[in-house]
Amino acid sequence: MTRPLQAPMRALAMLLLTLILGAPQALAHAVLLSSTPMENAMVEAAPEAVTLGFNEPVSLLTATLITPDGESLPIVAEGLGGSTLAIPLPADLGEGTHVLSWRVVSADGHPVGGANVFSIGIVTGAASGAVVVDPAIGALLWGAKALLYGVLLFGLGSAVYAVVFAQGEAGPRRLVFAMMVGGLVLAPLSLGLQGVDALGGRMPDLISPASWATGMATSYGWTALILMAAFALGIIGFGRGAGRGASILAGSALLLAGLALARSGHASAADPQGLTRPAVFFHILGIVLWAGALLPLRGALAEGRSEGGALLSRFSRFIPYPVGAILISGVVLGVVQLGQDVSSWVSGYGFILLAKLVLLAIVFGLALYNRLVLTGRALEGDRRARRAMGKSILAEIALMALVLLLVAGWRFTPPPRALAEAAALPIAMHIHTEALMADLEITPARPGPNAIAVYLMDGDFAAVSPQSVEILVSAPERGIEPTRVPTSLGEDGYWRAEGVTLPLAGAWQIDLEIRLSRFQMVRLGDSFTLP
Amino acid sequence: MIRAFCRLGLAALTLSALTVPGLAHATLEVQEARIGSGFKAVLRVPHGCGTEATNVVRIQIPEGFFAVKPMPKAGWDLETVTGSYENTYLNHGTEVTEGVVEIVWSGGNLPNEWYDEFVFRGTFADSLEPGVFYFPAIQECANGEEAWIDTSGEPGAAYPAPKVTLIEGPAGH
Repeated sequence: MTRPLQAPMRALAMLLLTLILGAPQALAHAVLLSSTPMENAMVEAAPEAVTLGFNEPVSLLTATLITPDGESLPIVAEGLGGSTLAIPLPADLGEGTHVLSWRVVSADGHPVGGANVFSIGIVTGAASGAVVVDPAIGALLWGAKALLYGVLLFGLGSAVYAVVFAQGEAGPRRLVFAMMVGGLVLAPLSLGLQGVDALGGRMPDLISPASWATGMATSYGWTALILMAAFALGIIGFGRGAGRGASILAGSALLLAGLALARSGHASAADPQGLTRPAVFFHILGIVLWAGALLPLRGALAEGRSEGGALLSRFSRFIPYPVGAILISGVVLGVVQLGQDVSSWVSGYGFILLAKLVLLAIVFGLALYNRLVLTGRALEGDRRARRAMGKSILAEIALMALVLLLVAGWRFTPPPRALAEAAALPIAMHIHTEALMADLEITPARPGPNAIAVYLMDGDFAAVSPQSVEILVSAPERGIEPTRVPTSLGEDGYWRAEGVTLPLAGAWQIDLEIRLSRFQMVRLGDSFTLP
Repeated sequence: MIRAFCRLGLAALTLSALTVPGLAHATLEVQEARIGSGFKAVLRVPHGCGTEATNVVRIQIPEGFFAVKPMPKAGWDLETVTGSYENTYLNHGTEVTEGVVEIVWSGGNLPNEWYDEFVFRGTFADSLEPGVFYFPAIQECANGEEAWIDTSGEPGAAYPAPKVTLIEGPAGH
């Protein structure tokens, strides 16, 4: 009984197979002959339509406009057909670079796709369809780092100052201990958060080993580990109170803290590192010592103890050194980070630096007032001066805490120096097959017009000289059909294409069609991410 | 009765689905051949280069297809490029070590709006393996070319080479 059904079923299966295998072919015989606006054209006002001229009648299947901010707008234009298609565009198009991705079918049923790039007013690199970062992770990472810096300065700092300079008197002793234990927890926690953030993950990813491995692999990995060691040494040294052994432990903790922060972060990554890393090191040492002195000093002054005077007098003699270190290293780092282009100073990084400088100016003002006005009177035993100084120190601590919140925010704003470097950094790719290898360089590797250079070698790294090389760029995930770009051979052996417009950040596919001889063509391809 | 109609409808659909790709690309009319047999290849050229007329048609004869004879064509000059084979083939007891490796029809004028066919024959060596066998072909026009030389077999290939599927079979010629 089933036998009569088998033939139709087989036929159906065959039909499906044929449709599946045959249908998606991009058969390239309907040829785009012209377009208005022309490819990569710059127009003053938004055109009402993009006109495409073909060598034969075609019907429009789909069309999508990708706007400069990365939005995909499907274009409804049913029944559009003929040798010339005028694809209507939405009204009120803004300035910037747009891509019209289209797919047409020619009379015999074969779809052909392409993408046309045009710019209204200005050429832009569109905003990315970049990874959406979980705001909770960003906030937590920021909070964790601010807190970590806080316990480093006021926990470890106080312990170091107390042990080395104040015979173990740290004011709020339990608080200082608690802060250092907090540091032991916060350092690894911030490492995990760093990993999640680096992977563009979400909150639950914090428990995945991959996040931690990634965090460890960043420059922050060692920073977190060394900071933990610093906190551990600080706790032990502080526990021993005073004396030589405790001083060595606390001093080592201080040096480790400086080393830890000099290992990572924007500033340490800047060139010349022979200058920036020591600068960060001394910057951190100075800040930890200054901030660390505040709690023990305030404790001693508030309790009205007799040794308060001695402590204050020693502090006022000692403090110019750390402050000097902070100022000199701070100026060095600021100059390196801001770069020479003054216009780039108006940036997130610049604003944070400005806010930090304003707050620091107030802190320095308070410190100067303490030093020049209050210290003398307090040393003479003036109680009101001592109380005023206690309040002033409290204000300094509060202001420093604000500065820490700001500094932790630097994590999210690359300095102008780094932005300029990132902008100039080309994408380099190596495509490797047994027969043929290609080195590709895409410059400047940001949305907008790019130059692509290709160097070809055979499997034994010997140069090959093909007849021609064509480049196809597409963004399959975003529905941008391949654009075919011819290249020309330079004297240096590179095949080059200039002005290849990659309108959006994100994932792109690049394919090379290499014509080795009249009858032999090799295709190499790879994907890359445009930042 | 209903079944018969179903079958007919499906067969028609299948047929149309199968034949459609032939219209767009330069392809061979017969898409299947037996290993060790003679084969008459008909290269179908459906269009020019964009809007330009085709003036030259070249076809490469890969290793394994020997004793090749092209069919002359009115209005076109015919020439062949010969070379030595990598292997030795037996043509009715005679050893063959060299032969046609490229056929060139030139000096013609095939407008984009017209269609034409180019014919040659030869023999598939019995040492070949079953599978796809490509005949890379190139149309040359006044200012460009259409190079049907993509032998990657990828479904999305823009310019696939004309091909024939080789199957095992009795060497019956």
